[in-house]
Amino acid sequence: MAALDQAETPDADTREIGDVLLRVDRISLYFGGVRALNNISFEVREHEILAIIGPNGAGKSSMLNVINGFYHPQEGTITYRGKTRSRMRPYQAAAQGIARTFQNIALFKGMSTLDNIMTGRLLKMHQPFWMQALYWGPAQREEIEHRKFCEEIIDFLEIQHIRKTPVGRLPYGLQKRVELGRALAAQPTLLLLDEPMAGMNVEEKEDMCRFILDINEEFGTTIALIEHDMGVVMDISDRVVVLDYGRKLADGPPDSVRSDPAVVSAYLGVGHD
Amino acid sequence: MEGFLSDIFIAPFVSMWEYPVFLVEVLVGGLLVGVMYSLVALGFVLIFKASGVFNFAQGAMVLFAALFFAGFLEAGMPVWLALGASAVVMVALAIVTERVVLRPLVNQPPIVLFMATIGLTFFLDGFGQMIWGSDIKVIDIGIPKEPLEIHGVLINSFDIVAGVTAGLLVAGLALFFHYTKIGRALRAVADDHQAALSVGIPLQSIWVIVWSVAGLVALVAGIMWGSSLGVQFSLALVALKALPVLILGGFTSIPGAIVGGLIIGASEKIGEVYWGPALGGAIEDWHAYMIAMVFLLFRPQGLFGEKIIERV
Ligand SMILES: Nc1ncnc2c1ncn2[C@@H]1O[C@H](COP(=O)(O)OP(=O)(O)OP(=O)(O)O)[C@@H](O)[C@H]1O
Ligand SMILES: [Mg+2]
Repeated sequence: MAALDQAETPDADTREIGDVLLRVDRISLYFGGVRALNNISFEVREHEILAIIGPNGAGKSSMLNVINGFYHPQEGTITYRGKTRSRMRPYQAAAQGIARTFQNIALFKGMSTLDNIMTGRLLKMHQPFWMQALYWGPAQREEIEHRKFCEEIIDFLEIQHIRKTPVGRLPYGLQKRVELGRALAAQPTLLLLDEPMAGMNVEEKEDMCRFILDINEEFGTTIALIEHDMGVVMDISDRVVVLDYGRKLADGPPDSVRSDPAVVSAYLGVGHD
Repeated sequence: MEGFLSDIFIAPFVSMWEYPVFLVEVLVGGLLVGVMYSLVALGFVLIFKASGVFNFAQGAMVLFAALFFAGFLEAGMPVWLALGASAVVMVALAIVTERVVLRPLVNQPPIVLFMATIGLTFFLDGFGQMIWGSDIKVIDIGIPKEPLEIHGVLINSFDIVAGVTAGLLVAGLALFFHYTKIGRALRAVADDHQAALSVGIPLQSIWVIVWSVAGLVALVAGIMWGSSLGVQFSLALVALKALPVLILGGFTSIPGAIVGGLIIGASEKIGEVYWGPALGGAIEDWHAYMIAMVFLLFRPQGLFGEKIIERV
């Protein structure tokens, strides 16, 4: 899997939490009268796995949408890799190494698994289009290289058997995996996962956990994920941010967050799984 | 009555059988016209795929492009310069359309965008005539019009030039959209906007590209049809010929548009020549639609069966 490594990633396996990669600062986001995010600040550090948790409607997905530029907050700033902005744009976010998956899977349903993953690599393709159209020399070489890279991702995620299958026909669990593959194809610095394990059975969840941990350890990718399964969250995350009704309730290592009275009462109040 | 039935069910086939060379002539003529239909249909399909917009203004774009081209020629530009200048106009139109129409209306229901393209149609008609006047213009770029004989088959040489040009353009576009990253991006956008954005596809650039391509396609169609019909308002109606092609080929299929255009072109000519007299002539206005409708009964998803895509 050497090719999957990022250039800027130091040694694999000796994962060390580094500097602040992303800082959201006093972000507020409204939809009409609804305050989806209320003055939220937190940081994501290099190479860590950060979990964002909270009851339904807490604003978790909205937070990810703000980070990759789908939503534009009315207040606050986002500092990513040292550059402060009042809003991201999706293209900007992708070009700067932010990749993501969606709560309600957003795949290219008509395309095969391989094509989906290749599309995730679009920004890495640099040959001019007329060379590609003629499939000529350097363009051909580039295409083959990208193809090889995507095959590595396919091996890594153990989805060789569905390489050519149109993803619309795949079962839910596999679709989630392909979506993760497409995000990985961009060799992201920051990977945003919106409920990567929702709707999966125990076995599928275990696989997904393993992939997430491997991605983080082997490639040093920083991961921010949203997850409802507290067992999973406690197992894999380095730090947890808790949201409730658009506010931040707590922020810290899993153990301290779990025993935080505000968190306990929010969760008891809603009765989440 | 008997004579009528025989005129419809027997005589055409007898005459096809007896004069095969003539049948080939009709067929080839039809196919060459059909390529032009493919071209216009392709403009529709590209825009529909990329932005989910049914572009009512496609016909107006044909007229608009032809007006500019003819106007530039009249102003004394050489053909290549007029061609380049009109191409620039069409690209500029794409940029302005994206900026002023598509971007502000993003995420609105398709019907709203459809209405907006109706508005665009009126704007193009009005603006084009404001600049160039409403007199009929002639385009003469020296394409020969005499019939040509190939292996005993007589073919209109203008149809050949038009057909080959359109064919090359269609092939080039097919290549472009199949093998390039822009093509991949276009397919991604057509499939899922949100996902496309998340992998870094700049939606707005894709729209500009697609509308530019549709504009260039309109330009070529405008020049070809303008040369044979003259540049006048009825040119905008020619685009209506693309509608049965779309019904046949499916709104989202590029191969569908190409093959559909050929089928409509060929069957239109054959119908006109062999069945036209029995049905009292002038059937070319409606029978393409009839073919498309009958076809629709059997294959509602169109020739190549791409299923209709629901978009967010
Ligand atoms: N596009 C939108 N338009 C209007 N309101 C929205 C939009 N997106 C989110 N909201 C509102 O913002 C609030 C937070 O929603 P969000 O999807 O971020 O919650 P969540 O924490 O991800 O919940 P869940 O666990 O159900 O996914 C909700 O009240 C929701 O209705
Ligand atoms: Mg959510």
